[in-house]
Formats: sequence, structure tokens, C-alpha cells
Amino acid sequence: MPFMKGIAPIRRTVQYLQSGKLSLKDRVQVFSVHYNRLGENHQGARDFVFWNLPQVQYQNPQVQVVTFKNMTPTPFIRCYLDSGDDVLIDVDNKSKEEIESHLKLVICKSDELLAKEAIAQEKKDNEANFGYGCQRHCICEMPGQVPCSAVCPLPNHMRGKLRFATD
Amino acid sequence: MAVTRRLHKYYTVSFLKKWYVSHQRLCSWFSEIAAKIVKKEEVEEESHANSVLCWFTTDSVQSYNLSFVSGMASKAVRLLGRCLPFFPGKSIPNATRVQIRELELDETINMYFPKDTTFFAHDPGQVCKPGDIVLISSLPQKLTPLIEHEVLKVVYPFGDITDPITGKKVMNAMYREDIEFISEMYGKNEKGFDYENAPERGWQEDKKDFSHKQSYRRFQVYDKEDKQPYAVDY
Repeated sequence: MPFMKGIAPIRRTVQYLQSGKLSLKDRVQVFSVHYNRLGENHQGARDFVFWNLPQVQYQNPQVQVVTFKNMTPTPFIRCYLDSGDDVLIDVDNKSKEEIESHLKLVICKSDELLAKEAIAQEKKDNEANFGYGCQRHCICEMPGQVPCSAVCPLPNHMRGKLRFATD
Repeated sequence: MAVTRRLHKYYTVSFLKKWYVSHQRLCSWFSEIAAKIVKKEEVEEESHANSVLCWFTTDSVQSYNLSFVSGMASKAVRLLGRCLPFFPGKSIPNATRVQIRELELDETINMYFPKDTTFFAHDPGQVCKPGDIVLISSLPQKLTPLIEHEVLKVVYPFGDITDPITGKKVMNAMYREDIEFISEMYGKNEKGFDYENAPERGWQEDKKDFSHKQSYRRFQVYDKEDKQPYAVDY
């Protein structure tokens, strides 16, 4: 871990950023967190911002992640959607884990959806290819093609050594 | 995902054709792709010609337009920002300057740092005042060369924030009713600010506050009566 200075430098590793669990839905365009510097009821929100906000931004580079401090007595998270509506989530007296799990239910993509998207994103090679590194080693594996000449020899009229023999 | 890029103003299709007239094969690629960009059609991101053509396009962070123009659904980008005060020489009529704070990843230490960008948001009714937190949305087409966004709503007006969860008025992380209660317990100060009866923000505009109008550096004052209320001293 290079440049590992400061409080909790693990937050600044690529592995930590990539392991963020909150992948916001495409509708969300702004993710704003309101919390205070002091107050026991804001501790969960403060922890969430300290530990998880970089992960949220890393997983959702298109979303504007913004924080507001010392504006209201109770902490909340407000997400602005592309339809013009906003989702208000009260995080008063909640712990960081509760906030994370609640957000995952409410405004994040589900695990099934993420798995489907991962499959769709994979660049698959042409499945018809055969050879080294492909799904099939040889075209002879496919029914309907000429069978493997190691197993079943070709008929003599197709074998060059017999067709073009001079002697 | 197809992406539209804005062609640098000097590199028109004809210019590119002239430049690559010797490379016949490249010329046809570029002219095709360049023509598509000029017409703002969809361009395949994976194509080699496009990746080379990006040398010729304005690719700054602000001008990277992710909306599809003509044919596909354009998704307006919404941003939350703070209104900046009127500044002579920088402000334009019917638009507020809005400062957007985004987080930018520093690749060397993998840390996010706040980065401010300033946009002009179309605000014909002059709803926004300096310090307000507003929600702006990118326009499908630029209104003027400078104005690319419009103000959707003022989310938190400056000094008059309403807590969205309770609906009560709030001042500096305390409910106003709590502030009143505490002040009454200690003994209410007659000269203290009265939130309920105070006039709305902007009541001194054109009387004592001239910061919202077009301004100029103060001319030499020869006469005591020459007040120049709209002049600034810097």
C-alpha cells in the first residue's frame, strides 16, 4: 500500500474501492448526505461518509456525490432522480451498517440485476471459433462435420497421398 | 454505449479531408465518422477511426456530453450546486452562476478530492439568490454559447432552510422553535432577529444593496453628490 498515510488509509486502496456494495440505480443522478460534525445521532452518518462514500462514488462515477454539513438537526440522505423526484432517507440514530443495508434495499441495484449486467458486459469471443483457447478444440467435434481422422480415417479418394501418388 | 463528441471548431469535415487526402483509406473512415459527429449522430465507441478522431475533438471534462442528440432519448444530467454571487464581468442576465462540487479521483493515491465547476443556469424569473442550494438540469440544446443548464428548483434557500424530514424551519442545525424556546427561557432580546416577522431576502435591493446589478469600477469621484450606487471599488 503506497502513500499509506493518514487515518484509515485502507479506504484509499483500489481493492477497497472496488468492493463497494452500493451500485445505485440508473435513475439516481445526485446522492446527497446531510450530517453534522457533532451529535450522537449523526455518528452513523459520519461513519458512512468516512468509510463508504468513496466506494459509492467509485461504483457510480456518473452520480454526483455531495455532502452538506451542519445544516439540519437530524441527518438524512437525499437522492435526486432523473424523473425530478427525490428519495428522502432518514438516517437519524442509525449505524453505518443499517444505513448501508437500507440503501441497498431502496435505491441500489439488486444482486441478480448486477449479475445479469456482468454477464451482458462480458465480451464473448465468437462461439463458432475452434482451436487453442476456444470452447471446442476441433471442428470434428461437431455432429455433421467430417469426423476426426485420428479416429475414423478419410476415404481414399479424399486422401492426397493416395490421389497424387506417382508410383 | 455510443457517445457524441463535439468536433473542435477548427477541424471541420473539409479540413480533415484535406489533411488526409494522401491516405485514401483513412480519408474515407475519417470523413464518415467526422460527418456523423458533425451531424451529431451516434458513433461506435469501439471503432478505431473514432479513437483516432478523438484527437480532433474537444474532450475536456466539462464538454464531454453524454446525452444522445437526435434519434435517441437524451438523459438530462441533474446536478446540485450553490449559487454564486453576482460578479461584474462574469455574470450574465437571466442566468445564475452555479458552482457544482464533484469528487475527482486522484489516481496516484486513490482518493477523492472536491472539484468545483461553474455553470450558467437559465433562470428567467431570478428565483435564485447567492448562497442558495439549487438543482440544475442540463438542457437538451444550448440556449446561448454560455448557458447549458437550467434551474429546476431551489432546494435550500440561503438562511431559510426547511428540514425535509419534519418540515420545520431550521437555523444552523437547530430548529427555530427550539431557538425561540431557549431564548425565552433566558429572556428574549428585543433587538434579536425575529424570524417570523422579518422581511424576505432581497428587500434592500435597489435601496441599499446594489450587488445584484451590472456593475463597473468606480469612476473618479469629483463631486460629493456623485454617489454611483452600482459601482464597485475593486
